[in-house]
Amino acid sequence: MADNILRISQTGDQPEIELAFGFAQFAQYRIFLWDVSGKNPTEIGHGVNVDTVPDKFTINEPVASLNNRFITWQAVIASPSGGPGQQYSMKASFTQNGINCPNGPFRKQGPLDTDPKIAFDKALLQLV
Amino acid sequence: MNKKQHLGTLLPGVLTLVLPAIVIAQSSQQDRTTAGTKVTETRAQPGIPASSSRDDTARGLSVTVSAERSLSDYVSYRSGKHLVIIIPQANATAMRWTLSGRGLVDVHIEQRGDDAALLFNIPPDLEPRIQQQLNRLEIFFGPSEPGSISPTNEPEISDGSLKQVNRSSRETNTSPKEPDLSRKQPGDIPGLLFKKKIAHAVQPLLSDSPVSQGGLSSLLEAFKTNTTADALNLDLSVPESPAFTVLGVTPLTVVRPGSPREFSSTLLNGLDNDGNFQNGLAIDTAPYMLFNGENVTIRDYNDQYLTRLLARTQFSFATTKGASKDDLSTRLAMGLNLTLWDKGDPRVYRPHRPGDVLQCFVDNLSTTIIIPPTLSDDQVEKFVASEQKRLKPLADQCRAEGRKVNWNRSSWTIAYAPSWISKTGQSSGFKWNGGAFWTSVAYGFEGMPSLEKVAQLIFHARYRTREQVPDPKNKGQFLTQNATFIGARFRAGSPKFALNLEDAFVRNSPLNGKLDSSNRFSLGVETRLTDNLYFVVSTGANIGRRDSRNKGFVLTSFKYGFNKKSQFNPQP
Repeated sequence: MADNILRISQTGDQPEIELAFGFAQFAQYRIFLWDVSGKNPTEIGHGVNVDTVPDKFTINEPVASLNNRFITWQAVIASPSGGPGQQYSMKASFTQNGINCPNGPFRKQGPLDTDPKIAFDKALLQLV
Repeated sequence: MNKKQHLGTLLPGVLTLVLPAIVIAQSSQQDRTTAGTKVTETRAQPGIPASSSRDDTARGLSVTVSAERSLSDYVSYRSGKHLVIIIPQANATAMRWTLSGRGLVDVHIEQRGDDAALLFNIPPDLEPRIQQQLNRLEIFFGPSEPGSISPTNEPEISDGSLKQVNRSSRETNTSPKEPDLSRKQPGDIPGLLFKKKIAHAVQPLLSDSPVSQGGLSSLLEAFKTNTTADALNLDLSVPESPAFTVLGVTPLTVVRPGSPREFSSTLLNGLDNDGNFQNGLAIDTAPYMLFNGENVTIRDYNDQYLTRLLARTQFSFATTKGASKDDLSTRLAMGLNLTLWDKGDPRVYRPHRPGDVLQCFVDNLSTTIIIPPTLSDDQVEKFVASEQKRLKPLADQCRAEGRKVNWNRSSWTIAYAPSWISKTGQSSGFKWNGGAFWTSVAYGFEGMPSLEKVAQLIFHARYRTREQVPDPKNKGQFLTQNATFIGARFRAGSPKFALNLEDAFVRNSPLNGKLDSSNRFSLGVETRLTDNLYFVVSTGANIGRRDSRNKGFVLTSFKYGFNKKSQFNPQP
């Protein structure tokens, strides 16, 4: 799979990431920021999608330091009802100054072939 | 018939039946004990690969079915021109069938729940007979021979003592009892239904109740077309797939919500109400989730009633075509099933309520693994495999706990299914063929501590127009009627004790015929004797129905027996 590339304005504010999970499935997620070599993760945020807390987090690192770093998001997705034929979708939307970043949002979806399923996606940050 | 008459007619009938039924049942049980045979002791095992071969003998056609274990628990019966054999706890997909050839057409193998079903279209000049030896079933199609089992319209269970009971029943009644297969709900499994009702129970007796106005002959006449099984275990559910129900077919597989890839490959194979094989397409989907599911978050689902209503709405579509030369008709139906509210919906987040599935997920489905960004998709799959394996039983346990707590929550479901038929099979010839409306309201006694965990009350109504049913006066003929059914069920239970009480009003209005109204009542009680042994007592009555002489009658039954599984305990 080709890496998702997320373009961020180096003159903009701190970017934000918001996760959304479709098909009314449960999700418990974590978001990490990595260094340029794909190591030394820092947790940006974590949570569940059923409470009233928004699933939106600010990347609290200097924008200038984000170039060529990875951001990953992973979630345990489970169907409350279970049974065959279940689907899942996981969408990550990035905004900067309230505007969607180019190339986003990033989406993964498909059958919930294992239930629960640990879904994972990532993006490479590039300053423009 | 008013309520007092109802009770007055029921109680004497029940009392009349209790003592002789117990005596008969006890002797039957003794026979079974001395014979050393247990009805459900020897069963084919799930997933057993079985094989079959066909042999054209001089006597006719012979089919052999074999498995690794005993097939002694098979059930066979005739449905129309078909022979049906049910092999319990067997995997149809694991069987290899190469049945074709002279004189034998329309062989179908189906998986019906845990059981495998073999369906043979019996050639008119051949008589089927079955012989069972350990793990082999020999099915002969040829001239009748003494000493072998020839399936009748009455299901046969492959247990010697039970057949004895059945024969005794026939001798007593002098007139054979014909199960009214065509009036069964299509979702039912004929073999299993009768297996359960016959295998563990004394055959019901007829009540010569004082209020019976038609006399014994009327009762016997009525008994031919009204098995007492009707009076027990009423189907009060709204079908998930109304289109299939209104067409009267049981699909082998159904496309479920959110699995569009199976869309084109789902075929329907089954018997219709008349016992004819039908082929067709069966689709069952939640359209809103199918087309917009990726945008439905669980938070929207919880916050917006309209989202819940749309997400839970099921649409079914079914079209069938007769598989034989005699049946050229094509039938089509659509169905809509709406859950207006459901207090047991596991997707609704109620964090403070015991058994809430989502809260259980929150508490248990966390992971400490961190997936590096340098991994490829395949490497990620391997990286998370063991963690997913660890989480699966936790999630299953949450769902199981949720089902256990929510089984009786209040809910309201409605469904509607119109249908059309083209007798010539031409698309231009479709005409209205009636429809059906269902509604079920369940009340879970929320807020009543003594009942909310153990009891449920269900009200159900359905109205069916242009229903095809067998004509009791003309065997092999069918008549068209509009049917109304209003029923209620109270069920309560724990693992140790269970109670099931049902009452239903049925009104049939045959086109160009007389209105026929009746009331059906049943009561079942069950207690657990040991871990795998339940003692069951049930009784039922059918009151007010009119026979061929337009006389009212009362039909009662009483059964008792032992089950290895709970029959009435409603809790999962």
